[in-house]
Amino acid sequence: MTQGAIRPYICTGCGIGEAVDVARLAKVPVASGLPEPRHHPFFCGEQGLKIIADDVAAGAGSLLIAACSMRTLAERFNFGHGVKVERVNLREGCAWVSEPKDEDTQLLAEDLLRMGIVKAQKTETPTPFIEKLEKTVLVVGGGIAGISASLAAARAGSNVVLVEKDAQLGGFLRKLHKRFPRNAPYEEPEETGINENIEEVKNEKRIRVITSAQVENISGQPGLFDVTVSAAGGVEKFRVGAVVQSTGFKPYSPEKLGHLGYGRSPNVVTNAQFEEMSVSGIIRRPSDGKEALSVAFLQCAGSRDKDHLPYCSSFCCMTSLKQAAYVRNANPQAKAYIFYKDMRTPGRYEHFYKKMQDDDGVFLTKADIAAVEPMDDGSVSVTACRTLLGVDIKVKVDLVVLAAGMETAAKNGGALKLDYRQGPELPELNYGFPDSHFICFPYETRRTGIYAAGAVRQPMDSAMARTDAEGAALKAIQCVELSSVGKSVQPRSGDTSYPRIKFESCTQCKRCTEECPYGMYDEDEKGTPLPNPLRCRRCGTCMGACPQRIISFDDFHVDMVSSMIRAISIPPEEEERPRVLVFACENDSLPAFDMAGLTRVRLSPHIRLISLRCLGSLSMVWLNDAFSKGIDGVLLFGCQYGEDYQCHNMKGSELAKERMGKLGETLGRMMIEPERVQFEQLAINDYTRLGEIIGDFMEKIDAMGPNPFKEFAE
Amino acid sequence: MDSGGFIEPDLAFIAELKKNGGGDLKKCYQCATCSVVCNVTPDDHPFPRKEMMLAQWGAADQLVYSPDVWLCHNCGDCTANCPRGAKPADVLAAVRNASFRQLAVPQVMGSMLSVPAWLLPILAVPVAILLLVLASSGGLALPEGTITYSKLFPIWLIDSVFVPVGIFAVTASFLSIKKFWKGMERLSPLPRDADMMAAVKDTVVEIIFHKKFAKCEANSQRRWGHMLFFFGFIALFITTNMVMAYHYVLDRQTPLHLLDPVKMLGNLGAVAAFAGVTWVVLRRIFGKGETGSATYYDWTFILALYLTILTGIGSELARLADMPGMAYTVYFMHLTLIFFLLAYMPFSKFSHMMYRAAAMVFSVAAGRNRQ
Repeated sequence: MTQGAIRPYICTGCGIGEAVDVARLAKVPVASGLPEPRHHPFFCGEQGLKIIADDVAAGAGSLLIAACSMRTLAERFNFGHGVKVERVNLREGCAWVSEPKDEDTQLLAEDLLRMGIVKAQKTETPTPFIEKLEKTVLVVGGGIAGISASLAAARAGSNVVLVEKDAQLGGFLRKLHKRFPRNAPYEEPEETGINENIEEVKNEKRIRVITSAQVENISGQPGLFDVTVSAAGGVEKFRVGAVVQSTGFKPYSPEKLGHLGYGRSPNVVTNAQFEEMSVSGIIRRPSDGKEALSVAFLQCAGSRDKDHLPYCSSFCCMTSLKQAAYVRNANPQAKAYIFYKDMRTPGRYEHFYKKMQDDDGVFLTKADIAAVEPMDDGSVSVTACRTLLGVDIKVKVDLVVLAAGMETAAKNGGALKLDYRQGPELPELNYGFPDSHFICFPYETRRTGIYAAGAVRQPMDSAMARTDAEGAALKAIQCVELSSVGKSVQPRSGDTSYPRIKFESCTQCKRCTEECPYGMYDEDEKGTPLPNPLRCRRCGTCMGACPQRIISFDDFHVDMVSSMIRAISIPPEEEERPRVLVFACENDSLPAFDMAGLTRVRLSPHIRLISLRCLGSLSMVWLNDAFSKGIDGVLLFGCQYGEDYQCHNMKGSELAKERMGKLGETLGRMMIEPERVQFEQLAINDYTRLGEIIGDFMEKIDAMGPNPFKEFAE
Repeated sequence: MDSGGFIEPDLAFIAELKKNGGGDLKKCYQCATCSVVCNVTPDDHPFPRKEMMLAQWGAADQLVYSPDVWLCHNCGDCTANCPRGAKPADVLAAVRNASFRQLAVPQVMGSMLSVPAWLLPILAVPVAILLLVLASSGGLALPEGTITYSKLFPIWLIDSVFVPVGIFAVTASFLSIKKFWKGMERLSPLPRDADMMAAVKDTVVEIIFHKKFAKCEANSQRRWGHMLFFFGFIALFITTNMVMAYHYVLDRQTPLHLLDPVKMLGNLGAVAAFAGVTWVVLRRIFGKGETGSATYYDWTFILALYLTILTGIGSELARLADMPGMAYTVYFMHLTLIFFLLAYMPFSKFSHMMYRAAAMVFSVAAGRNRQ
């Protein structure tokens, strides 16, 4: 879509007019063949907006607004569909970080304007990818999370197919005697209510339940997922729009807990087994059926233990308190001991902890378990060390209950059987839990349109699983709704661009199909990428990876950035005005630069910033362009990568860093020192460090001297 | 509770503590704020955090034979700062109450003193004995002429009742303290080179100056009440012995002249004790809870003391006002109360003086209660 001639505007408000010579700046667009820019001290005000709106009404379709950061006032400078708006950041990017009326400030503003003009010239309003989509939500796993997700989706108006491997719904909660309290005053174990929940599902007309069933295959993309399910009645195929995986957890294998006595006495059981033993009301020890009058609960059995599960399973503290209540309710003379690392009973659960703690027959202590030994009379001896008493405590009990933690069911795999080039499972982060951006987008997985909910995603109890699943169901609906109008989900929510590929130049190198963090590309036998645009999250990693430069977006492509680099004016060497190109990820680094502006951090006026969707979209050719043009150094700002990554696209900054590793050779051929390129991990709150990072880099560049190519560049 | 190295929580003991002031003991979640704010605890293995845990676990033995429980002076600083409302000061007081019963020799006396149901029967004992003595000596008629209490009870007669009672009290106290001391030594043996004399000396100095009380914050006012009563009580004790010496050695008979030094000491002691206990009672009734919760043990002890002092003062005033009927009746009540206090001292809260003193000596000897 072409919008015709570009109409430039220069806002002189917010200090811009005081920082730069606007009359001189106005010559830049004119030199590029654009009309004389309009000025106003307050373009975001009613009067200023009217000036722009009048131009739009008169037919202007492409606006270049040189004012503040594109991250501000986006709604106000939106003049409707079909009107392209390009923003040039003269405020945070220039006036607020540079010396006013300085020649270098002026040159910075002029370059920013030139780069903006080129960007506007080289891009188009994206044409969205729109297909007729199916909006049914598939929920895999019919425990409390799956039930809650199904009910939430159905009540929001979606059709739901709920697939459960067992003969009936209910999952783990159905096996429980009681659940811990969720209602005021939070003092007594409650009925699980799972049967009522199952009834609700049965009564919900929009939900179709398939039990004793297994997903055999899922192929396609959001809105177009083709699902094969095998059940008692045979195999059936249908199409869905999005998927919620709520396959829950499996208790940590007690066989691995021999050091806590499991397997050495029948009277050492897990919390899951104890639940079944409690149903009848009287608790008997398995060895001889004697009533258990003393029960020791050993917390963190296999959890928070580097040799087992290193994480907290989150439900065991409350479960043991609840089971201690079973013990005490069964017999007032019975004793329940709880040996813990820390009691973790957040929020209102604290009321139940207090209630159980107040019970005369419940004995708590922080402790490490030193030994669990079966005794001749069937009892079990438990020795605890490092207790709160300062001495070892030894108790003789009828029954030992191991508060075993949870492992994600995703670890087993096989629940979704995705027909994806990158594999059949949701990519995992740690301990088998599905990967997502755990701070910003916890429900998201790295498979667009597929959401993990409940204990499969993170250790959680049934109460949290309910709300978690409801959230995931709404995310699933949001995904199909956005997809149906060609829009992306997080992190570039609403983006309608998608990768376009010139297949005739593809060398089947598979870099795009391997590197896409979301597994957007499938592959044919030869290795040709088969894009699934609705899986795309628009990070541009494929574009950055492609050595042939054949992947582009309507409004973001290799040539656009290359042209912006070429638009930077390079002063002759003798002027001693070095030029450093900055590539900044738009998710954290760009906001950090804006923060630097807001807090008036002084930055070197010699930097020229280009914002990228993700550092993963960084094409190596841009570095080539920069150095052959005479740029003296390049700074890359991306998010933290690694185990505790912050990258909004999980792998983007890590991939960029990897590509940097291969850069040395290329630069060596150009006789450019590899130190002229520097990679920095930056979080938004690191804006205070920006001045120092950039200052240090400028000193380094000064020490190395100018880019040797400068004299050859025009 | 210790058998074969296994801990066996004593549910009955927990119930006893809860009944006798420690109702919130289970609320403790072991944050140790109490031990941090306590000004009287030793730095090493400080109380009352560990005592709270022992109480929750029903560890009767460790608590009843713990000297630390007695180093606590019930300031209430811990209770005032406890984030969980577990009231550690009350819990330690409850442990001491339980100790009065458990350490008592004979133990049946401890049990009788611990419940209101036995109050009237044990009060009836001195009444009956004194009435019996009165009836057998000269009948129940009021003596004629100037009011002289020795007309009602000749001194030899009083002594023939109270000296055996005193011997009983001293013997029971000795046996109880011995039991307590042995228990403390069993749980934590004293070093061989422990300097007992120095420990006793330190303890006496500390008690005289009420040094521990001085460190209290929440209940700092109590120091003065306790001190007044303490010294008043000592003055009265000396007076009683001096009167015996007058009678048997110097043959000076009561009533003594008001300007007699012994009489003056006695009157001064009575006023001080009266003021002290009045202060205690008023603060118990009208305070804002800084005195901790009061139990049956507290009230029987305080009221017995108060009534003894009041009847003592009443006897003297009624005698001086020449109101024979009133004077002899109040004097009879006074003797009954003294009997009550003296005979039951080793089993009531009165015995705190001997347990606390013993625990302080033990702790100093163990190197645990240094200043």
